[in-house]
Amino acid sequence: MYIKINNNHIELIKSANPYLIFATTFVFIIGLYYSLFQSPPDYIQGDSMRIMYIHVPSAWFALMTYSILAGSCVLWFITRNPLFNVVARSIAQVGMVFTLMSLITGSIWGKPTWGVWWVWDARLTSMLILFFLYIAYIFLWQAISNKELASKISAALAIIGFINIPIIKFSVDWWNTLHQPASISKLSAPSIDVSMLIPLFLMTAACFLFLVTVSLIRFRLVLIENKMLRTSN
Amino acid sequence: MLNLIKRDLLLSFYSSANFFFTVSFFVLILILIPFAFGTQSDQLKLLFKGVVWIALALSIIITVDRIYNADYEDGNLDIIMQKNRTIEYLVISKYVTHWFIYCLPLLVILPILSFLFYLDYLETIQIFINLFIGSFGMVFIANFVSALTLGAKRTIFLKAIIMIPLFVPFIIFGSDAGSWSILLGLSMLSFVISIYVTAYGLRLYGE
Amino acid sequence: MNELLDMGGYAIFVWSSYGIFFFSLIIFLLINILNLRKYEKIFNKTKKKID
Repeated sequence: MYIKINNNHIELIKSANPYLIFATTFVFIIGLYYSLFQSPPDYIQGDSMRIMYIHVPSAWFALMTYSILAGSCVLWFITRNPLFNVVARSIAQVGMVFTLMSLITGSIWGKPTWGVWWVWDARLTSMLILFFLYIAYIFLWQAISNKELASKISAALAIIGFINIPIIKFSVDWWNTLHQPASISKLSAPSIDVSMLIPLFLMTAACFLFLVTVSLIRFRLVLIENKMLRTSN
Repeated sequence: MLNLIKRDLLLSFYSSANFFFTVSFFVLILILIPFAFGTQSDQLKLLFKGVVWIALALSIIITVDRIYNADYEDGNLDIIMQKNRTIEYLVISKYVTHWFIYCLPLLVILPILSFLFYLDYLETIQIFINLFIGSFGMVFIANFVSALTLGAKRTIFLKAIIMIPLFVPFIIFGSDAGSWSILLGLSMLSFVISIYVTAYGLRLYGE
Repeated sequence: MNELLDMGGYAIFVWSSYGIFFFSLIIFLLINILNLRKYEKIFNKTKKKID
């Protein structure tokens, strides 16, 4: 399963880039139209639930990106194919942005629904920890001067963080039941109407396209960075 | 392995300011509680149970630069690793010495401090047991972070960012008196992960 | 139009969250594109020197 990246692949990625950017903006605009104009307001939360259409996709992709990051780090350790390291490094920063966005939009959504900006609930706390894991991954790589070592070390850290996230989720859940028996965040999730599913699906697709676009741009960037490091050594 | 432990203990004994600094740091953080929150005895009791864990975490974080860095910079680590084929022995001896030098003094001073904060004997014993178990887990984590970040010099903040998320479960379970068994499980888990990761990091830097 | 802008009384929350979201995504995309261009320029220069 040894995939090798050659110049043809890079040219293909390069030529796909404008189309991807166009597709991302197009789907985002349709998604915005549906989520702001075409969908009905929620009958409990009113119009504030429109924040869900950007909050939920960014939270999903924050988690998915970390899974891809940790998975590619594991695959890199198993197969020793440097492609996986490049994938991990190109995807990490997009994940960090998505995590930050889900935290900010979630907090803005929390103010009208719960009355507070932040709740010390398992989901929110583990997202916050996830953000710091992304920061640790990115900045540890930058802090170590020997870049080959730096990738190995930060990959090990990403895998440890992947083990740590479920432990934190579990422990904060346990801690919550101890400290605040009636958590306000435990609103039962009602089944979502189809008219709300369409904008959610569109925004998810748009976020996915954004993830792919920026990851491919960063993929090229990381490859050039690697080449420059190799020539300078 | 015993030689290594003896060597590290002697080294820290000759520069004996080390114990003194971490103990003073630990005590000073706890002394800040009454200054910040007032001297009501009920409140102090409650706050002490939590802040003692923050103080322990911080005093382990500030010692993380001293585990492998001195040996790595003067080249002793290479010599030790060439002599001992199994790096795991070196790692375990470092766990033992790090715990002895930086955590044992804190545990010794803890009963005195808890009387200053009006805790009774039973509560002191519970906190002591939890800190005893949890400090091992925190030492394991500090060791592997130290081994992984040997190449990143003067980055104590980065190390803190890496370590604090890993300390979160310990602090959650540690500040509750009844959950020492979960804490023990967490410490064992962190031992298993830490010994592999530390040996991996040392092998990378030793090559 | 005013009804839309008002968002049923939640105007600040909805518009600010959408604004922050799209602003930071665009900024992030631009940063990466500009970085890529900068790196490509430097890379091509050094490549010419080596050749």
